[in-house]
Amino acid sequence: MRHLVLVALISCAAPKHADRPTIDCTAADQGKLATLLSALTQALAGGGWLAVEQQAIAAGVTYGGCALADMVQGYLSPEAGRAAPSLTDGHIARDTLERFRAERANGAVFHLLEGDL
Amino acid sequence: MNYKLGRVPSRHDARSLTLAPYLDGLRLPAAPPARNWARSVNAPPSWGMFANDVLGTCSCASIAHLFAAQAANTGNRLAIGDADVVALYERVGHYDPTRPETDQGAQMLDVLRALREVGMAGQRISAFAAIEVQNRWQLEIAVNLFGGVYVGADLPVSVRHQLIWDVAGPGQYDLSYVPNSWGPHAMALLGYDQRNVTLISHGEIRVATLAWYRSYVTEAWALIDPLWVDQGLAPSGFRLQQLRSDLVDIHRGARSH
Repeated sequence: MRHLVLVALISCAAPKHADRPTIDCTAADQGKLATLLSALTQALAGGGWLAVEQQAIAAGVTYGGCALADMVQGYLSPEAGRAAPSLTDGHIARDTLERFRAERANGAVFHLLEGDL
Repeated sequence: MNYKLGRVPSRHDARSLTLAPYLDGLRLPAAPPARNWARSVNAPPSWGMFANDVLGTCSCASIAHLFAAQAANTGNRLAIGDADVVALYERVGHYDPTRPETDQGAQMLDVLRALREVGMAGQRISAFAAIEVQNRWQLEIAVNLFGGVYVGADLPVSVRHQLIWDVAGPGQYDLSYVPNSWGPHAMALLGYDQRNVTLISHGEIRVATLAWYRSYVTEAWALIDPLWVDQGLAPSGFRLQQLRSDLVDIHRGARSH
C-alpha cells in the first residue's frame, strides 16, 4: 500500500505541460449572454457581488462564467475618462471571478473578444 | 529582416526600489482580467525598429515603445526617432559610432537611471521600481496602473519560428528552447490576459504565453512616467499623482542610503 501511495505522489509531482481549459464565449449564444449580463448588472445594483456570483453559478459554467468574466472586465477597465471603482469594490469583483473560475470552471479561461479572461 | 538584441543583464543594486512593499502597503487597485495598451486606436501604425536591426539598442528601443504606447493612450503627441534612441544608447551603453566594437548592448538599470536624470526625446521619468517577475499579480497591477512594463528576457532561439512564443510542448524539447540560446533582450510589455502577454519586440507586436513569460523573463520594471501620471485621470481610471510623489520620495530615500 505504501508503494502505491508513493507512486501516486510522484505522479502528481511530475512536471506537466499544464494548459488551462478554455471556454469559448464567442461561440456561445450572444443573445443569451447579453440577457444574462443585463441580469447580473441588475443583481449588482440590488444585492452586490454575492448576488452576481449566485446568478452566475445558477447560469452554469459557460454562460455564467462568460457573463461574469465580461462584467468584471468592464467593471475594472472603465472607458477613458471614467474613474475606476473603489479599491474594495475592485478587489471584490476580481475575487468573485477568480472564485468562480477555481470552484466552478476547473481553472478555465474565458475567451472573449477582449482576450482570454 | 535582421534582428539584433543588446540587453546586458542588470547588475543587482540594493538601492533599487521594488514595487512589492509599496503595493502591499497601499493596497493598490485590482487589475482587470485582461488589459492591452497596444490596442489603442491611436497606436502607431508601426512601432518602429529604432535601429535594433543594426545595433544592440533593444534596452533603449523598448523605452521608445513604452513611451509611444503611453502617448497613444493618453492622446499626447510624442515624436521619438532613431536618433533619440541611438543617442540614449551612446550614453548608457558607451556606444561610439566610429568604433563598431563598442556596440555591446546596455543594462536596463542604466537606461532607467539615464531616463530619470536626462530623459529621451525630452521625456523623463520620475521614478522606477522593480517587479518580482514570477509574481503575476504584480505584473497585472503594474501594467494596468502604469501603462506597460519594461522587461528583460533570456531569449531562446525557438521564438524565431513561433507565431505565439511558448515553452516546449510535451516531447517537443530541443536546444532551441534553452534560455539565452539567442541572447538577452529587452522589450516593452503592454498587455496581458489570463493566458498570454503582449510584447513589442523589434517594432512588432508579439504574443507570448504566461508559461513563456515565467520561463524566460528575468527582470521587469515599472516606470513612473509623467506622460501617464500627470493628468487628472490616468487611462487606467486612477489618479496617480500621489502615487508618483510617494514613489519619488521613496526613491530619494533609497538613493540617500
